[in-house]
This record gives sequence, C-alpha cells and structure tokens, in this order.
Amino acid sequence: MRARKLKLLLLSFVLVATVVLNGCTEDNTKVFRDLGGWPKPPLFQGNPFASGGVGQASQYTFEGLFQIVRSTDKIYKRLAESVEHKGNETIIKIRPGVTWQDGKPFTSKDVWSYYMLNNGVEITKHLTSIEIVDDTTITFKWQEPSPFTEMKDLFLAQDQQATIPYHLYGKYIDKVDELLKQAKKTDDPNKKGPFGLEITDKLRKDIDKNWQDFLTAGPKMPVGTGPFIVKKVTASDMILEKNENYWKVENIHFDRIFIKNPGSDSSGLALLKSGKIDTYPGTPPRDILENMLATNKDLVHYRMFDPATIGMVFNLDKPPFDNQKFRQAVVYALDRTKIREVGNYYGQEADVSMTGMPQSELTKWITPENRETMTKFTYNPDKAGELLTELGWKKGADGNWADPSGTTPNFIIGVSGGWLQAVNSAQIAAEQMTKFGLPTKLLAVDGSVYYNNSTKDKGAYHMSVDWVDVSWGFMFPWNSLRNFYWGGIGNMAHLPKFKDGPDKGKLNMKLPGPDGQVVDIEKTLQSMPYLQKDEERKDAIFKLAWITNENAYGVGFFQNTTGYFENVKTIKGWPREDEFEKYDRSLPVPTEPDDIDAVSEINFGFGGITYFVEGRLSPRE
Amino acid sequence: MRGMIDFFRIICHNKRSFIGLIILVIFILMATVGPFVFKLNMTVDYNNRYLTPSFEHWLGTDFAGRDTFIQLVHGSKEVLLVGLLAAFFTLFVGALLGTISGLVGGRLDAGIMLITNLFLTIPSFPILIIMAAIFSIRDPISFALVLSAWSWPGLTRAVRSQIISLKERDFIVICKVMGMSKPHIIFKELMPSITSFLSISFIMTMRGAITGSVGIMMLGLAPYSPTNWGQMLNLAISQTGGIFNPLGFIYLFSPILCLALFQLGSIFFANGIDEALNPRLRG
Repeated sequence: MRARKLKLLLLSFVLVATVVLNGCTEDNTKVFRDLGGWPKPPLFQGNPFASGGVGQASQYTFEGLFQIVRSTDKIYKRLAESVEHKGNETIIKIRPGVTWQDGKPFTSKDVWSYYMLNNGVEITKHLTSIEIVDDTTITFKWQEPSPFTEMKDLFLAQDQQATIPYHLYGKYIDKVDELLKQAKKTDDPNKKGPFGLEITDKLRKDIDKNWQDFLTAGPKMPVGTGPFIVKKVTASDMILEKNENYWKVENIHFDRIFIKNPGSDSSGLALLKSGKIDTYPGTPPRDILENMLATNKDLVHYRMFDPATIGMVFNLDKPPFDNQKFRQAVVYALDRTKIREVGNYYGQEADVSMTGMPQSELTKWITPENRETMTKFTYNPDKAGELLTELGWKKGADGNWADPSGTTPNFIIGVSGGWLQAVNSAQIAAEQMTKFGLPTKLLAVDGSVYYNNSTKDKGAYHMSVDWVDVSWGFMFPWNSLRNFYWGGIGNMAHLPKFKDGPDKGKLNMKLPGPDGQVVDIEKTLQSMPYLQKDEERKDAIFKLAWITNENAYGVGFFQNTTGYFENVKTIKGWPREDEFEKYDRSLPVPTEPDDIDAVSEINFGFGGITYFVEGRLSPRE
Repeated sequence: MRGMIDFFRIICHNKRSFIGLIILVIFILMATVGPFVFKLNMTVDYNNRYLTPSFEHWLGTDFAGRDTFIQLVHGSKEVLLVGLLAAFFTLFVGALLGTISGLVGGRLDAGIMLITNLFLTIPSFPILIIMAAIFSIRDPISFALVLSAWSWPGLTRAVRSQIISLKERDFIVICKVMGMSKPHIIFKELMPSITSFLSISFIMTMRGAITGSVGIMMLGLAPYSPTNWGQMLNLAISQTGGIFNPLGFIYLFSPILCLALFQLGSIFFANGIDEALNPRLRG
C-alpha cells in the first residue's frame, strides 16, 4: 500500500514537473512563425549570392534603397531618404545612421559596391557611371537617351543594394573596379556592356572569375541592414532576432521570427492546419483550400492575381504552326474554362490568344476602343473547323483532321514535368486537341532538359507549356512584352530572327499593326523605355499587344491567381478584416485600388516584408 | 499437356495460389476486355468532381469529374503490359547472367561481375535525363527495356550467389559425378531450387516497374498518361494534398488498392508456382 502511494506521488511529481518545465520553455517573446527553404547546414552561409542564397532569411535580413511591390509598381523608400531626378542624373540621399547588422555604418560606398560587383543587373546597361558624392549621397548618371522617369525608378527599385557590404567584400569590389577601368567606352549597341563599356572576352573572363571568387567568400551568417538578424540555422528551423539598431525599429513589433522548413507542400499545410505557422503562400486546389479554412477557423485566405499567365506557345519552326490561321484555329479549339478549372480554379481566363501582357493589365494600358479592335479568341470549335477548312484541311471518318496532303498530324506538347499545375493544364489541352481531331500527346519532361529540348534547333515539341505573358519584376508592360519577344518564351516559339549580319540574333519581325502600318517589333521594344510621353508608351504597348494577339503565337490558358493564408488569431494587422465574415474567410481577388495594394503587399514575393517595416503587423496579445 | 494439367491442379489445391490466380485473371480481363466495355472520357466535368461511388461511377470521380474506375481499367493495360515486360526482361537477363556467372566462374564470372557492378554504380537518373534529351519512348517494349536497364544487375548478383551456394551441395555434386549434362543440372536441378526466389523477384520487379514508370514519364522519356496507376496516385496526392481533402479519399486509395491487390495476387500465385515447379516441395 505504501509502495503504491509512493508510486502515485512520484507519478504526480513527474506530471507536475513536466507541465511546469513545459511552461518554462514557452517563449513569451513576440514571435512571427513563417515557413520556407534554405541551403541546409553546413552549406548555409551568409553570402546571399552564393549557391542557394540564404533562402527565406533574405527578405528579413536584406533590403534595398527601395521596396517595389512587384504586382502594383508601388515603390516605398527604404534606405533611400530622397530621390531627385535632375537631367540625366539621379541623386539619392541615403538615410543617415543606418548600420549593417555587424555595427558598421551603411554608406553610399556600399551602394556603389553593389553595382560594381553585381554589374550584370539591368540598370547598369542604362548608366554611364555611379558616383559617390559623400557618405550619404550617390549619383546615378544615365546614358543618353535616358529612360523615362518612372522607368528609372523601376530600374532602381528592382535591386537590393544593401547586400554587398564593402567592409566584408572590399577585395573583390576593388578588383572588379580595376577591371572595369580597363574597359573602353563604346557607342556600338552590339558591344555595349555595363556602364556603356565594351567588355572584351579577356575582361569578361577576369570579371567572371572575380565573381566566382566572391561567391565563395562571405560571413557564416548573413549581414544585412534589415529588421531581423539570423541567429540560428538548422536543417529544419531558422531563428531570427529583432535588429535593435534597425533604422525603423519602432515599427517592428516582433522580437523573433521562427521559420520552419517543412520539406514538402503537404507538411507545410499540416503545420498551417495545426496552427504551428502564421502564414502560408499560394492558392492550393479549391477543395484543399476549403478544407483548410473549415478545419482551422483562425485562418483567412487572400487571393490575388499573379502577374503571369500559364499558357502554351506554338513552335513557328514546325509546320503547320508556321501558319497564322492554323494557330488561330488551335486557339479557338481549346476550351479554356475547363483548362482553368483544373489548372487554377480561381484563375482568370482571357478572351484573347496571348498579348505579351497579363489579362488583368489589358484594361490599364489599352483603351476600350482599341480593345474592341482585338480579335476575341473565345472557345469556338466551329470557327476552328472553318479556319482549317479554309486551309484545305479535311475531317476524316475517324473524326481526325488531315492536312491538304492527306496526312493526319501527331502533335507533341512539351511541359516541365515537375510543375504539376502546368502538366495538368497541358494534359487537358492535349486531350481537347485530340478530341477536336488533332491527335496530340503530352511529354512531361524533366525541368533540366525541357527548355533546351524546346528551343534547340527546330525544337522537339510543336507546342510548349510555360509561363507566358509574364510580368514578374515590375508591371510596366515593356517587361512582359520583352519577356515574350526577347526571352525564353520567344525562343520556345522560335520567333524569326536574323541569322547573320549586323542584326544577328535580333528579331526579324516586321508586321502590320492595327492601323495597317508595318511595325518593327525589335525597334519598338528597344524604344519603349525611352518614350517620354505616356501616350507614346500606350500606343507602342497597344501595337505590340494587338500584333501578338492577331498572330496567335500562343494561347494563355489562364492568368494565375496566387494567394496567402494568414493566421488572424495569432497576428493582427491583416487587410480587409471587415470582409472576413462576408466571404467566410476566403477573400476573392480585390477589385478596389486600396484593397489591391493592401492585399498585394501581404505577399512576400510581391512586396517583401512591407507589412513589418510599415509597422502594420503585430502579435495579438 | 499433362504437365499443364498438373500445374493447374497444384495451383487450385493451394488456397492462396488459387486466390492469387483469380485476382490475376480479373486484372488480365480488366486490361484486355475492360477497355472495350468501358469507354474512357477524359473531358473535364468540374462540377461533378470527387463524386462518391454510385451505379454510374463505381469508384466515384477524380478531381476533374472523370470516372475513376474507367481510368483504372484503361490504365491497367499499359501498367500490366509494361510491368510484365519489364519484369520479364529483368528476370531473363538477371537469371541468365547470374546463372552463367555462378556456374562457370573464372574470368567469365569476373567479366560479368565487372559489368554488373558498373551498372550498379552508375546512377540511373542522369543517364535517363540524357536519354530523355535524345529520344522518346514510343512503344511498351522500349518502355519496359528502359525500366529494366537498371534492375537486372541486382538480380544477377543475387542469382549468382544462390547458384554458387547450390552448386557445392551434395545433389549437384552427385549429378556431376553421374556425368549428367549441364543443361540437365541447370534446368532440372538448379532452376527448381531458385524458382521461388525468381518468382518473388519477378513480382517485386513488376511492382517497381509500375511505380518507376511514373518517373520515366515525368522525365519525358515516355508520353504522359494520366490513367497510369502510378500517375493517378501522383495526381491524387497533389490534388488532394494527401490528407487535406477528404472528398478525394476514394480517388486516392483506388490506385493504391489496385497496386496492392495486384501485388497480393502475384505473391499468392507465386506461392503456388513454387510448389508446382519445385519437385522437392511436392514431396
């Protein structure tokens, strides 16, 4: 009996001790719990440019002179106190008293260092030099002609200038400065490199070697100027602590950031569902989303347009896709509603083929009258049949179309296999084309060979599914138009280019525009950043969008809708709080300008940690 | 003919192998007759997604409102054919080389083992990626050959070990002393002793080939097929988040059940094969 009492007493003691000890380990600090990835130790290091970077820590640790909200082009000043555009110069005053996280002052030399070492960034192609006036003043000198003012701001805001502290990487910065001084100025646009310099092969090799050496250098932990300092990194967890010397520390209402590396989407959703994290990016399939909201009542999901469209480009090097009418027929034959339902239920369908800009941007840049002149390519299999018949194609008894020579095609759509959202969309497209009478198979190819297969020689696929009409970076449509015409998507479409001569590699596309006048695509694209008048820019955008649509170089399946889950029980300050009940915590894409701004900024990928720096978020007491 | 009758008599008398046989026959019927009976319609019908089983949809519908059972039926043809062929090629090469290597020994053994070890150490993934860049698979035979290209070496080594162990046993030594021919020793004495091992290897290779076919598909070596069981499973997990969409449980578990049943049927059947082909087990 006594032994039993003793045992009971011991058990009670263990229980009480466990509870008490647990209570002791409970962190009373104000914590935000995020999730993300990073190179696992011992690979983790402090240089954000090295392989794998610093992962999710980047946005909490590093910042730039500005913070651009990539989906709205709204620009916040961060380390820049003021900006003045004077002729072909931009003078930036840096906030006084800003320090790196190791205590050293942040000066204009650090900004200069960033551009010297990272001289491949876009802005350097438009600059003649960057000059340090004093510790807090730096001047950007633009080439003539210089981009229009808003474009200059966008170029500047794209970069994270406080990432290469001179006091840590001086050796490599001085070396590249020395190398760049050896280069001569040139006016030849084909030879022009950063800062209007002609970079010879020998110099390029030396600059590249210096960059590679830089990548292997750096501190063990990141050193930025941001509001949080990385303190501990393991394979599964990262802990950041508030930077008490942050220049806007009064706005930072969290003492710590805990970041979990879940390893898979399912694990991440499990963490969210059990309330172990406060935020989760993305819009999962509709039924998962609804289940998450139903099982965790503390969650709210915000949806927002991604400035990117998932779609399919046609390979112009593979007949019959070199024929405009045939391409248009394929676009008409696709029921994009069904593709959208499977690919991204909340996405937005387009009524055009593709325009080189996301659907949501069309109304901003193209007037309703001009929009009316653009052919609508909504689902119309009869129209598709008519176009094929006009081309001499005939439908056989088996339901398949045969070309004028009597051959039934066997088309191949290529897609990157690891990207299931695109694979599902592409599979539906292949299914629909086959059902329409154009037998089509899908090849879901490993991502490491997909692009090469799609672009090399004549291309391995008749059609390639990818992000088309992509405006990541900034929203001014020159960005998405050049992404199509000059970027990888254009290469997948095998757009005609000069094969030799002085214009080798440039687009050989002179096509009739909306008014019947011939438009040189290459020249129009080149001129766009320098068009000083808004009307001129809108006119150029319309012409290119119109030509892209009429020529049906591809088909945008749907503009992606992304989103964020937020835990509103643990964290306060999220937008549209008054609408939680109305939409049962599943908030649709906002339509009001203020809401669009507010919702875009909760997306770390669009607006960084604006909500933290602006002091909008805080833990619920 | 007599041998065949005996074989099926033994299979039918062994309860487990009989059940296995029935399961396999059902799957074979599913793959051969099924596609003619059940017409596949992969048109998206989003409003009817994740329907529960009914007379119209025996296993409900998938994330796009398409009939799950009919997808399984149409997938079975490709899955079983590719799985069987891959297992056959693997078994043929593995057993042949392993037996020769173990039996003959000497330089031939060393040579075969060198090639085997080479294949075992070469990682398959980069090779498959290179292959994906060069060509694509057009028929089930080449699909099976690619799948078996990296599965035979393990079997070769295992068979070789078995043969080396067996060839020193008394009954083989006696055969040799009695001057029996090599084919007799191989096919009448050695083979029956490793039949059960080979049967299980066959089934395991087949299972591996079915799941491995998804990898081959996702590398772009073979056309993407949403009705492939492995692919169905992959899609079910990605679309339901595994456990986050209770509506999709039947869709998620259907391919799992098919794979498990097929494997179970094969293992049960192999149990009878062992008894039928190994005279020592028949007493």
